[in-house]
Amino acid sequence: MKNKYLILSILIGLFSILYKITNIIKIPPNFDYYDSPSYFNFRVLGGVRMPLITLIYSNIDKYEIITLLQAFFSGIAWSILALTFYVLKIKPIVSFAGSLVIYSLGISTQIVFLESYLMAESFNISMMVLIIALSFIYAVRRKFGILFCLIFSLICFGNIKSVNGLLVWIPIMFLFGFYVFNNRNAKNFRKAQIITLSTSFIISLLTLFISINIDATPILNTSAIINSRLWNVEKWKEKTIEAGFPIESRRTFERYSSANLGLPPDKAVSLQEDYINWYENGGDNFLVKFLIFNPSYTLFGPILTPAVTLNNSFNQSIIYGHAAGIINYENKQTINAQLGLDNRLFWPNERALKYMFIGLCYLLLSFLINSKLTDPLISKTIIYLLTFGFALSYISWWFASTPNDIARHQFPTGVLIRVISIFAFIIVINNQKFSLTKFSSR
Amino acid sequence: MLDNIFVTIAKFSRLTLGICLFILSLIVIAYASYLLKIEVTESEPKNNVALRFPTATEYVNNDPFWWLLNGSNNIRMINFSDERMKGVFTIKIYPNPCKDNSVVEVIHNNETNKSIIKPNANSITILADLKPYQSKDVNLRVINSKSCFVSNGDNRDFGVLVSSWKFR
Repeated sequence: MKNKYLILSILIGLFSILYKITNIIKIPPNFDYYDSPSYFNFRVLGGVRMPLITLIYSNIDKYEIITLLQAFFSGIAWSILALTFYVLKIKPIVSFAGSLVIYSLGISTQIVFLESYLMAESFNISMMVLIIALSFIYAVRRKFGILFCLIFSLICFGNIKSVNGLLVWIPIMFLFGFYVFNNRNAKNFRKAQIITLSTSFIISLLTLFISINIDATPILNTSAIINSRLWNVEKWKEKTIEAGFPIESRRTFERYSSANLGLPPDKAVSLQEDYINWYENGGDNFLVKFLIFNPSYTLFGPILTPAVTLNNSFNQSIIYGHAAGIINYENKQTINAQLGLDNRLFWPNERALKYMFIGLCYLLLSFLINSKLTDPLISKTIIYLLTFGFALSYISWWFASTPNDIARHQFPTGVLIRVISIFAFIIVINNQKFSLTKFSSR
Repeated sequence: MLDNIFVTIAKFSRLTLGICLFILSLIVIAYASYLLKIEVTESEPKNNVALRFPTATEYVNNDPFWWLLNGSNNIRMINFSDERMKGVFTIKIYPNPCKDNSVVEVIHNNETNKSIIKPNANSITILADLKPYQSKDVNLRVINSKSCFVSNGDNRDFGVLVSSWKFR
């Protein structure tokens, strides 16, 4: 019985890979003139992008092959995730249902759209999906090979985007805590696990070092965060002025925001001489100092933005980022956004429904991690994935997510929350079905 | 010893994360219900709603204007945001170069509203209810008693001039 459903799920997985490949062949690669060129410039230290992604891009070089590879890798990653249900102790029919839901998310327009872009986003999401799958598999099947694959995926994930590189040591530390020290039944296994995790921890520190040295436009992001976020709240604005931020730069920002003068406002500010002088004489540490001396902003700003900014809107919070998805009106008009499943269940069209959906996901997860519905190791896995996801969101918000690109920066955690919620839902359904069966047999 | 520390940390982090997520979920669900119920918008309507005219944009001293021609003109209302936008478009209209007393018919949602264009500035209003990312066409029919051509080689039959629009 299990085999029948498993074979069916594998066939659907093959179909989804084929679907992604045929889609990507139909459309031209999407080259972003502002961001894409830096991906073709490989440097281990001091580059603009992380070395793994630039290594892939600069070696392949041909746009069509890169997007084809992105689509293929995405198909493989989502198929592995969909088949993960069969490894967990879940009834075959429920596993089959779960795999269908995962496939529907994997071939949704929001995911397929990214595969045509010559940016790190698609590989980033695929690698994260692989990490989620391997984490769940490792929670129930403690095989050394799976641990190795999980650690390898984490290190690769850390070397795709600089924000990942800053934080990849967190899941590795969690793995230490949950599976090595906090498990008395795995003594025979401990030695190998400790060696693997220690080595990977050292590599993750190297990744952290590379991330810190990435030159991914901090001068631009500082100007963007000051002008788009801090300037809108009087006390933050005062602190920014006290720190010496030139008022003329603000005027430049306003001038370039009011009309199309050929440059984005943040870019116009970052080219201004007095702003560059301020940045080079201590302004480069401004955001870090602001975070240290304003703990309410640092801790609650990303999630409870209305309470901190008093502007009655969540649209600058990570919650909006998790809810929104990556497709807006502008890219909705392109042919690249016409492919894949619309999937309004996971990506509603209306903002209020987006908030409602993500709120329900949080609610489901909050119950599941503290309930006895699931295996303790599964709920620990959910905890470590969620912690990692929120850490990624927070770091992105602190240093980069302006209102214009908050949806793109928060998209990976948005996908992670949806995927984990599907797993949580399927686990709850599985247990519910089990207890109903018991009830009816009495 | 180390085992116990990790067990305690794990229990604490589980409880903290659970409580934080629970509180956050209640806030977000309540906020979403509030947004759905009273139909407020997070995004500024003026930044997310636009009118597109069927004719080219022209400029005088950097101020844009549009000539609508005699007869039928399809104007497109566009909502760029993922929120429902309800409001009123106010379009400022001036007569054509021949100073004709034109009649403008706004045909929208199977209703027709007529306005007679006076020699000075006129305003016509269109009620709009746009779903997320929705575009809707409105037909503006300009009826002039006679054609209006100018003698500079421009072969357009001028209807009325649109000088600006706003959405509230």
